[in-house]
Amino acid sequence: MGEIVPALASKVEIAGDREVRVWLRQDVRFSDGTPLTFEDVATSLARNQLRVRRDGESLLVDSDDPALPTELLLARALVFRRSGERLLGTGAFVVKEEDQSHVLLARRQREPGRIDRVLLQAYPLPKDAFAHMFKGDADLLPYAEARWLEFFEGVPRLRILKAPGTNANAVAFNLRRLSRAERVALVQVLANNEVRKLAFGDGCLPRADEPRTEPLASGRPLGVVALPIFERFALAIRRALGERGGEVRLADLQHFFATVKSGDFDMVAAAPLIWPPVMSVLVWRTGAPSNVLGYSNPRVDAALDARDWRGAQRALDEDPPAAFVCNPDRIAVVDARIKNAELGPYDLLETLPQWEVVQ
Amino acid sequence: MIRRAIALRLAALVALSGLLPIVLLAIVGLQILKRRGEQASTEALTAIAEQASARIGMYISQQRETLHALAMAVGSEPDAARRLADVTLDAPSLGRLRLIDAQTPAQSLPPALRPEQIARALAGTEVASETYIRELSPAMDVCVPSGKPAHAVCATLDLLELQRQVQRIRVGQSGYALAFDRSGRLLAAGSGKLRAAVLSGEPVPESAAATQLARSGAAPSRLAGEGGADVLAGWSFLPDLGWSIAVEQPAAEALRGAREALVVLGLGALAALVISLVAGSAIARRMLATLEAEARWRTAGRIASGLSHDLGHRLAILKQIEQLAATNDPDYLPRIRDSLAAEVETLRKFVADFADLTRTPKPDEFMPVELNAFVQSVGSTAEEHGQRAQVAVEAATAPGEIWVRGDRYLLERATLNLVYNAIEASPPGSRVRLSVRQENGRALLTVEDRGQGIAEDRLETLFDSFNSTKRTGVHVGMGLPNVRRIVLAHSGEVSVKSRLGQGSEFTLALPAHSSSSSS
Repeated sequence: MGEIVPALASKVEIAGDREVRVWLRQDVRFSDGTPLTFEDVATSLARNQLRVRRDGESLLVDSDDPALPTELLLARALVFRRSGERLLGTGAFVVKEEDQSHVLLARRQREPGRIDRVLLQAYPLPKDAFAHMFKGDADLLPYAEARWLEFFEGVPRLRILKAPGTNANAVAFNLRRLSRAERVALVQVLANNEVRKLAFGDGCLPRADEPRTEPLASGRPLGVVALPIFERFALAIRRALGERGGEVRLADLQHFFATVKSGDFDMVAAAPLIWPPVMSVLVWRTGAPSNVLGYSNPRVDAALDARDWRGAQRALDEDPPAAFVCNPDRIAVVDARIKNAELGPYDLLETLPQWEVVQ
Repeated sequence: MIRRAIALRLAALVALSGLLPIVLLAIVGLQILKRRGEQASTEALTAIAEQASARIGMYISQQRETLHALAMAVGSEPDAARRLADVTLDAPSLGRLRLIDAQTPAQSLPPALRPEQIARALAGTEVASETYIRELSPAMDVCVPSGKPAHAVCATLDLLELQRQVQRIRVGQSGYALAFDRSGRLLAAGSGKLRAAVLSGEPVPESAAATQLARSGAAPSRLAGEGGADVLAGWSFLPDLGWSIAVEQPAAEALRGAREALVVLGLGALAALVISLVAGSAIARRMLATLEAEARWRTAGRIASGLSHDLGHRLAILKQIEQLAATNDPDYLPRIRDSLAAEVETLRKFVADFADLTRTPKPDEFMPVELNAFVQSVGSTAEEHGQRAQVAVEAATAPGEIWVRGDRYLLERATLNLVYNAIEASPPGSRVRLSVRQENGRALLTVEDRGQGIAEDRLETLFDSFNSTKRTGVHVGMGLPNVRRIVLAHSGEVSVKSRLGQGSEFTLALPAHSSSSSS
């Protein structure tokens, strides 16, 4: 659970403090059919602050970044090659057409029974996308909300796919305004089934390690900032805070991030990355790019340096930057004629090249 | 073979005459059943639609009452805005509640209410918008008095629950419910295929009927539904909401009972028909065989009676000749010789008549016969017999050749029989005329005499066996039946016209052939 599985490498080993040894697969090819070379890897990894050198049949990768482990940087890296004005990848599909409203992908080498072309079409409103699914104009709705699933139930030509989500529904704290003790107390008040059910009903799975609920100590009212889609979540948070429930402020995306950046908030309703767990830790590493709250915990950093992911998680729990309320599923609706459609662990469309079409 | 065909026809006749009224009765009965079935199905669908309407009406009314109560309880409180916002956690169907007044910015007002409706709401009157689709489900904006002057509490009711109610309705295997607004726009659909129209607003086949219901209060109970399918529908209308609820079911499914009854009846009738034909045919064949045997015995009796009569007559004559010979008178010898010669000739003819009966015409061996030459030949043959009776025999030919196919010997025997009968029926000095002609694809051979004619009451049985009018000792009554037997075997027929005192006219009608070709 949560282990990083190599895609382009046949084997990965930790070689030293900041070094990782990688054996590349010999059969990897770019979408234009040309083989992956050392130069491609070196150029690509350099974009992720990683250096590569040959060492016999393997490659040794190291990093200048003192904050993050090399293997985590490696896991986030994308390997590509520049071809004219475009970038080539190593997937089964190549981009044939692209504009603001659509992307057309075509399989590099046709495979009988497998999807040959994929048209990613943008619709103005969710209801337009839903209507096209019902009409049969579209075969996959990759991001559906749990509350709308009943609309698709009982429709024979559609199937609902579910997979564990990569983000949690959480309440992130302003670390400058709330002490560690307050945050621990707030986690107990907020990360529970009552808030989860009130905010999300049954559409969000409870966390396994639900803390016990204890009354919050008296103090000043605490406000919540949220995107409009989290209005109900924000109201549930306010109710859970009881007498300390303060203003609920709804903000569009731009204002939301501006507020977080300015630090003018007590709490925000957010959806931080939680999967795979080793990657989620990146969010909380001191100085990590995704650490927008500015969280800094030497114990977390030390555990990360020691590659002790569980230890890092424990350190996070003791000095919580957020209260994790629940884990929503990722949901997609797909045409029932696609035989083995399932959602990939990282992204909805990861497994699409393997989907089979019933003729 | 003939007996089997007759038996089959008899059986079919009996079976049809027995079954037909039953089948007709059943069809009429089924039509009535079908009509009543349709009526009963429509009534059941209407009842479901009315139940759904009642639930929907009650739900809306409860929502509005709840909104009223909340507005009165909270609307005038200092923290009304916050408390109203919290309501959505406990009553999500009420949507987001807000307190409005004359200064509330336009973007914060309920979107589906017109300015004059907002003004009425602020003046203390409850107002509600028409239903509209918000996100994926129907919604309705409602403003109620808040208990605070010039203020109102407004909510956008989420009618997802109503959509759920409609979607949950299932009738039989594939019946479902639909909900429309006043304009015929689909708001909720039990059929997954139609849900696209809920979101897109495109009309569906039932939209026109829904509009008609909203305008006139009536909608058709049978109509073309999704994909042109013939459906039965029950309708209900909610005047306050302007919703039309249709509960429909494919007619084929709703009327399956009547259709199955029709199929069972049809199969039953068919089985009864087959059984009647098989059993009736067997019974009829047995009855015909019995009748045939009886007829055969009756014929044998008639033949025996004719033979004993004619041979008895001959024996009586021979006895007289024997008695004459017993006198040993030489003067009687010439008379005895003539009489014996006459009796031998008579018995020869007698045997010849029977010999004709033993010869069966065989169509495979028929040969072309040209009738002009044929009647001339028959006329010549009969001439001597005519001369003895002082009757002229005349053969009249047709302008062109007339061909038939047949057994020339038997045709000659049949024609000669008619000619000899005519000569014997004719008074001395008269004549017998043979003629041929062709009419409507048939070759006609006529034998006319100017004899005493035949009584009308005898004409009908003239061709039956042993019905001769001339029990003179040389006719056993087999001649005319034999003529008919021969002509029938040639696919022809024989007819007679006769008037007492004026003579008779016998006509053989045979299928004409275009040429002498033997094919």
